[in-house]
Amino acid sequence: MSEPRGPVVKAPGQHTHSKGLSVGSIGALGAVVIGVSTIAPAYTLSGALGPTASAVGDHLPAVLIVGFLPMLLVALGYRQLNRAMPDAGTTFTWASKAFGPWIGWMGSWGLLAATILVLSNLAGIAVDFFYLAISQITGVDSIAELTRNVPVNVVTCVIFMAAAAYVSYRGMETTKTVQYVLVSFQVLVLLWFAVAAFRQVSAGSAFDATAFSWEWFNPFGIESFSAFSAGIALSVFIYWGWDVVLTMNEESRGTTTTPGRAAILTILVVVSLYTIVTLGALTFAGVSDGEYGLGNPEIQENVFAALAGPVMGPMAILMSLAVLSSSAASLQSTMISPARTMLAMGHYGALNRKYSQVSPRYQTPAYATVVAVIIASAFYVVMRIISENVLWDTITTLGMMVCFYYGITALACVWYFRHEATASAGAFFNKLLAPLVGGILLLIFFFQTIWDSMDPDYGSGSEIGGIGLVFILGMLVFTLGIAAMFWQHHKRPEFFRQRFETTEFITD
Amino acid sequence: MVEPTIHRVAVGFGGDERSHDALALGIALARSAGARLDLILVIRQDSAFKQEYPPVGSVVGIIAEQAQQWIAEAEAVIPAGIRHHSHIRPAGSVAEGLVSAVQELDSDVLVTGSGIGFGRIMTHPAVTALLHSSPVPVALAPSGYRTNTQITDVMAAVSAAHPDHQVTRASEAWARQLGAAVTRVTFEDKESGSGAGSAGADPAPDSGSAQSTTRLYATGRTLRHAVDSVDWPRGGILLIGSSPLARRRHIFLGMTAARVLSHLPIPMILLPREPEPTAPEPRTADTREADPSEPDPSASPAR
Repeated sequence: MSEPRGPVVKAPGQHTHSKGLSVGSIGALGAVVIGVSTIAPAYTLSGALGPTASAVGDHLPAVLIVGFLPMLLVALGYRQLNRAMPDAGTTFTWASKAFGPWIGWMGSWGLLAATILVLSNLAGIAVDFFYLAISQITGVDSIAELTRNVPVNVVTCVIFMAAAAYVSYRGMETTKTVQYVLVSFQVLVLLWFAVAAFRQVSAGSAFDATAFSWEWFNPFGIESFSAFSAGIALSVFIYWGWDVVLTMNEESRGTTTTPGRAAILTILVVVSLYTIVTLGALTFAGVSDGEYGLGNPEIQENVFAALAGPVMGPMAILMSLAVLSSSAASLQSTMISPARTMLAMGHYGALNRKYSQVSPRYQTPAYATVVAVIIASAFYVVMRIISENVLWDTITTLGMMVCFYYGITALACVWYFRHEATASAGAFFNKLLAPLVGGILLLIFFFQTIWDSMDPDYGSGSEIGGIGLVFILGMLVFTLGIAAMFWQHHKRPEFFRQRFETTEFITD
Repeated sequence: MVEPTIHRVAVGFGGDERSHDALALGIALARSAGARLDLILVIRQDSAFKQEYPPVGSVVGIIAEQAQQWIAEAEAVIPAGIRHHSHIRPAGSVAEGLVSAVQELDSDVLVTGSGIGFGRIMTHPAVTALLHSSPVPVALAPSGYRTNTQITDVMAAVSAAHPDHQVTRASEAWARQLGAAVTRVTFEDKESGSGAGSAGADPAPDSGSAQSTTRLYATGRTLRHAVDSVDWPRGGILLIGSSPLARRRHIFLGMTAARVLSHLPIPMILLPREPEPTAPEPRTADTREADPSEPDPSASPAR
């Protein structure tokens, strides 16, 4: 007397008892906290401010504000796609659906490469600040130098990554309270840094007091389009992740709360925070190549490590802790990303089935997590050995990859919605115009950056055989991607032959 | 008139090895009690405060598909003749999902695997959470529990000081329904001297009960030795009460229970704290909320 078989599946959206992830229940403040935590401002600024300053000089504020625009335009398209196809894989699913499996595969490869690159960069920054913080606490200066010792650095970094992978495999969660504390701490310390910098400037004790100039906000004052697009590519990386605030409401299908207010608030918080900190750093240190100058290649790949001491005095330890906690938290949340992308690819047959393995105990993509951490660690080790400016080079390559996959995704949005985009003025703007302009802009910056990066003097100036290391890295990523794609096509051609189908929901 | 205590056995299932222990115990209980089996698989949903960076979308759909495979594997194991249902549901945490499911399904006992036994203590955070919050009795399957086990003995862990405890009454009700013998076990460790008593070890049949009750004193230098000193029957289950720290109608693993648990080779069933300390109701194991509009015909009359 068996009752009807087959499990009763309650889809998340239909399940009224499930804890809503709606912005409505999180509140605008919660949404801002989430948005700020995903961009990890302390880590991002420390890693990307220097390379950006090296590209655009004192036009930093301009590029930070202008760089936000393509990001915003693309994010509007993201939001529409996320509403239509909320499945895992984002770029992979969306681009495969719009442009077919080949472009979907490569777009996803770009996303994977970006996440692997950011993993190794995060871990690298964390290592720097780990030893810096210990040295500041103990007062032993030589400890801070340990990070320059390649074996020590590499081993520490690999341990950090393994720990992050373990946390991610176990599916442990950062609680709301921890998140609030981490974010407030970061914001407070960054503001403190900016205020301390301004005070030193007015007291005349700044390193290279530079008078504020409105010219800093003029994007047309940047010397060349090359410099401009390099700066934009980097600022795209700087803002990478905030768009989560826009897609968050989709998880609360059925609720009427719009996240518009939360998204705007997050944008304001993030852009003003970045602008204030940048202005503080600029007025204090200038863009010369002097000891603390933002133009000094010695400090550019990790500016807060160098600047926090002179700006904040003994309180620099707070900055170390802020960057350390921010990169540690990001390391863990970043580990989830490539694993989930590979899970989705494995699930749809674009990668070996092994990648779709889910740990029954923790419900996490076990195999994909292990693969992701091994690749990221191997990448870091090789880069640390061949390049002295590993962090800088990875950030630059990273910016390039983000432009690539965001650009592809934005155009996928345009193509996917091409028929329904004429329904209303709002649909036209959100589904067609904004992603089209944003996507084209990002792809222009992508190609310009690729072209320029051939120059051995590009970015940090690392080169192999007279060709810029960033270019070599970028090409290597794409060559490997194409090779892996053809290998997949050879081994598992079904994915490339079928019409890609995914769960679809009706859009508004 | 014997009133059944166990109508619905819920199994928290996850596809791992521990879950198969739980399934085996769930089958054994459902078969012996003639109860319905509910398999519950909880899919964990991310909290909004756990955002991956960069965002790559929700994987709940993929995990749910995988979950259906796990459930299918489990259903293949269930012998014909046992009524069963499977439920896949999303929740913020496994424990949270299980608790809401057993409340909704009106389950009488929730079975989980634990990896306990051989001196190990449970490791899954969901089990730990359940042991301190479940509103229904939680049955913990030791690792390697076999499907074909028959429940032959219901053992009641009672202290020497209060032999007429909730657990005593519950164990009698369970034993009646499962067709098993009742044994009252009193644990004594010489170190703390707890439960030291000189009561005889002779059978002490209760008035009004047709069952014969065996009394057993498990003594040893430590609780561990006390547990080891007992020759636990293969088909036994041990019923134990909650700590006084428990909220009424909820369970809370006490210190003694935790120590016994980590060495017990048979399943342990932790009962929620009694709704009323002096309730004459024998159905203490059943803690479902009395609902006058209860549509289920098999449900017991309202208290």
